[in-house]
Amino acid sequence: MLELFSRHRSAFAGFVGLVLPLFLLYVHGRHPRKTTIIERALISVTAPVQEATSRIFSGVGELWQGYIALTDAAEENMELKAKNEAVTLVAARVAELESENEVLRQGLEFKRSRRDLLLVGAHVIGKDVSPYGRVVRVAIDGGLRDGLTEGMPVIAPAGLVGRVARASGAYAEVLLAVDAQSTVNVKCRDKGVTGTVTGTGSPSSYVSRFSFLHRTAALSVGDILVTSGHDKAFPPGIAVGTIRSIEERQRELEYELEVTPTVNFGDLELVYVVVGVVDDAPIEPPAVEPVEGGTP
Amino acid sequence: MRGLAFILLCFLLLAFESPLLHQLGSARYAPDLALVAAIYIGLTTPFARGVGTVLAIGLLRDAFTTATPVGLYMEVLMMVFLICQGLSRRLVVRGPVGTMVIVFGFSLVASIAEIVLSLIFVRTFTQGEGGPGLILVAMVPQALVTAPFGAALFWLFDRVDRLVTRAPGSVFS
Repeated sequence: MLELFSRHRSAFAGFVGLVLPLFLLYVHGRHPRKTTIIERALISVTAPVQEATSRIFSGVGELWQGYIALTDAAEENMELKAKNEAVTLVAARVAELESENEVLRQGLEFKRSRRDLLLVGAHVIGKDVSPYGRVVRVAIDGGLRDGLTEGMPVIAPAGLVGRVARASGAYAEVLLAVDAQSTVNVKCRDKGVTGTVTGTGSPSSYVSRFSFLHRTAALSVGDILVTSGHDKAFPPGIAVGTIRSIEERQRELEYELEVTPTVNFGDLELVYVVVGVVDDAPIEPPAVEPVEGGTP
Repeated sequence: MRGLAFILLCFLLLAFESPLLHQLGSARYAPDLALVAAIYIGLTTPFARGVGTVLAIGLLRDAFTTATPVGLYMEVLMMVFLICQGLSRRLVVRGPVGTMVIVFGFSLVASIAEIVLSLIFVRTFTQGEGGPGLILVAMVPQALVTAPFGAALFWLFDRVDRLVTRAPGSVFS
């Protein structure tokens, strides 16, 4: 038997090689949905291996995906940072433009309300500030070449700023209405009281003194003083300040009251220099709003 | 020893093939690595030794392919092995291109054999969405995918062959 097997080894091997698979195929092909012992044995061998390899590849895949994701995240983070910086800059610029727009809008309204005045607009380019944080003098970007000369009134939508103290080619220095050297003829609107407002030059507060000889009506806190135009230095109707206190001080023949300027010198950005007066134009008195930070 | 080395190598290749292709997202047209092994063994191994090795590799192929009944790939690979044995004295494989051409041709033969055997032995083969149409459609793409793997695996089997047999020369010349 063994000799026969050895002699026909190849033929026997070929027979087994062809018939055994056919037998298995026949058995499993008849009932494909039925799991046989052979299949169970094969699954028990291959399933753990497939599970292990699957875990290895999914782990490697996840690691790779994670690495890619991290790389992308880092790049994305840098892009977003750059965009954020750009957007922040744009937002700051927009806020600045909005503020400037508001100032210009107010200025335009103010110019419309004072058609009787020939105004030259100028930006405040410098402020001398006292140790107490009070603006004592401002510089503007208008000068002789813009038609500005010494003594010309400088105003803002809120009221009187002062007058041109010195003018050069392209720049001018403004003496503020609260400066000790500043004197303005004023009247109290609707009260018939006239007098002068003189700056105190206080480095710690924006305050002026209102001096008057007599009054026809009782003054009260908050009454608005406007330029009277009697001194020919300032056109009439420009708000100068509001009465801060009604505690009068008598100095010889005059009475004195403290006045808070209507202009907040700390916030000044755009001012107007009155270079002339149009006689026929109507005057619409500007609305005076309480000044924030006008007093310390 | 040589046969065992091929069986182990095929086991590893088949074990890693499916998850790797799944990860790469190209499981539809998978290369038939067992077929390449059967061709290589058919061209390089004596008949009696080769039969056992190919049967084992076929069984592994059936084991890793759950959609087909056990025995189908055993039979297909055995048929390929027998043809290769018959051609081994007349067929000279030269270089990767020659290997790819042979593997491509045998891949088509294997697909046809698979259809025929399935039609004969598998009752549910013609039912549902699968069946001969699916294999016919995938026949050429799968042969094209398997062909380059043929060249690579021939080189690998050749390395293993030299390692375990220490014999000079190579079928992959």
